[in-house]
Amino acid sequence: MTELSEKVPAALSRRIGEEVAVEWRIDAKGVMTGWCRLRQGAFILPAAEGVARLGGRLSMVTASLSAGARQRGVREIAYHFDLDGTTLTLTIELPLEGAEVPSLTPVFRNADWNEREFMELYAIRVIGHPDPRRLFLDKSIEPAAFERLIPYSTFTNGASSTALWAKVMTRAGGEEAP
Amino acid sequence: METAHNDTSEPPLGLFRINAGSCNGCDVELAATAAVSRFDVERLGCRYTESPGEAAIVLITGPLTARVREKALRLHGAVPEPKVTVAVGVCPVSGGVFRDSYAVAGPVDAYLPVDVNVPGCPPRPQAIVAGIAEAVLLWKARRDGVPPPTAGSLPESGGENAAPAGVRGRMRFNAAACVGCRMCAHVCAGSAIRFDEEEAGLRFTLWHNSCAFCALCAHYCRTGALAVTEEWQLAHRHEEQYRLVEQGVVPRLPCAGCGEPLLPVPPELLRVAFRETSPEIARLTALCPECRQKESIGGTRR
Repeated sequence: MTELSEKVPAALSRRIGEEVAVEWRIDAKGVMTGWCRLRQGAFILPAAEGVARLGGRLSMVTASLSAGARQRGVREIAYHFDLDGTTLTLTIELPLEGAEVPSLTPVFRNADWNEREFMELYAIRVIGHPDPRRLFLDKSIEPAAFERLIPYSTFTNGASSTALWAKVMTRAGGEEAP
Repeated sequence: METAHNDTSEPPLGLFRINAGSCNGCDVELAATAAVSRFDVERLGCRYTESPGEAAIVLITGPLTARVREKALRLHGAVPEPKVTVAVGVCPVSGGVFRDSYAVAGPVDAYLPVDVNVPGCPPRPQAIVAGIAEAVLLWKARRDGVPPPTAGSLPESGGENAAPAGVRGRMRFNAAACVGCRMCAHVCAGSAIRFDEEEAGLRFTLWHNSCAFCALCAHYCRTGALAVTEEWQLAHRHEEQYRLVEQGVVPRLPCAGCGEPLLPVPPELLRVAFRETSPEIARLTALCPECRQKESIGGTRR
């Protein structure tokens, strides 16, 4: 376990071509987690190759647009890898406008759906994705759904209820439909 | 073992299920009509099929989400005429608790001709079977080119169909016990309740085709103006769908002091508020808030 704390930064640094520091934490049960913020978004692809060489797997990708990051003028994507029970999280920062990130699909095939999901939720372009279609959201919904605040009144404008009640109140009174 | 209703000289009618974004509650009840012999649809001369081309009756569950709309319409179109469509559960009829969501395209009848509705959230299997029986009548009339028979009377909710404890069924409204607080409309997940100010008083309307039978309204009603009936046999022809309402008017009475119209104080509310009522309390209940203050504390205080 302790050798990971040396192997991981060495593999990442070798691939990226510059010194990378990983912060390691150990909880009360002895579970180790690694945390690292990469200097550039494009570094995620060589970093993933380094993780793959160590026998790691991609668990999940979390894109976010937190208030704190937004104040710094950036958005974040956290890539969570598993190294035989040890979770390594590599975070990258991307600009709020025109964000681009290389696809990890050449290294980890399961990045496909993770990337498709954050592409439909956020305005992030994934370069080299083999199938950049929407994953969940219907095509009628505007792109990058999480980029903007949708007021609740818009979210549920009650139009369906209003129309149905008009019919109920007309017919219930025994009159003919409008 | 019951005797079969179906005329064995005819091939069974195919039932085809379309899940239009259902939460699966109705689908589970549908599965009961396929698997539990007591509700068995084969007694009606029907059988489930997975092929739309072999079907005569379409059973739709779910509110018709934006995502599934095209596929659901395509599948429905693949069922040969004369077909009969049954909306199973309140979702396909009105959208149920999912109505007005950005992700819901329904109600289903905005896109497809629906013939029979089976309200409920979910309906009981017996109610679904009653809806299918109605659909069989309509289908045969269509095949023979004759006008549809008058709607068959539904099997009773009682007797062998008696609901187990806890089945709530549709609500009933007692205007004499209503104080017009509107808490029921506030807690209704399906927006099934509305109040309208009218000349005659305050009109209460509950639309059963939007009601989830959850009985939260009755739970929060302190005076018992809303109560469960345990009646769950509500399958009906589509043209009746907007008539399935529970209505009542709470009349306004003139204030005994100034004549201002006011909602009466029902005795149920007094029982909640006071251990025992006195003639003085009874007199105060006939007054508007302003006159009541004048009577009891000698003037109005805001």
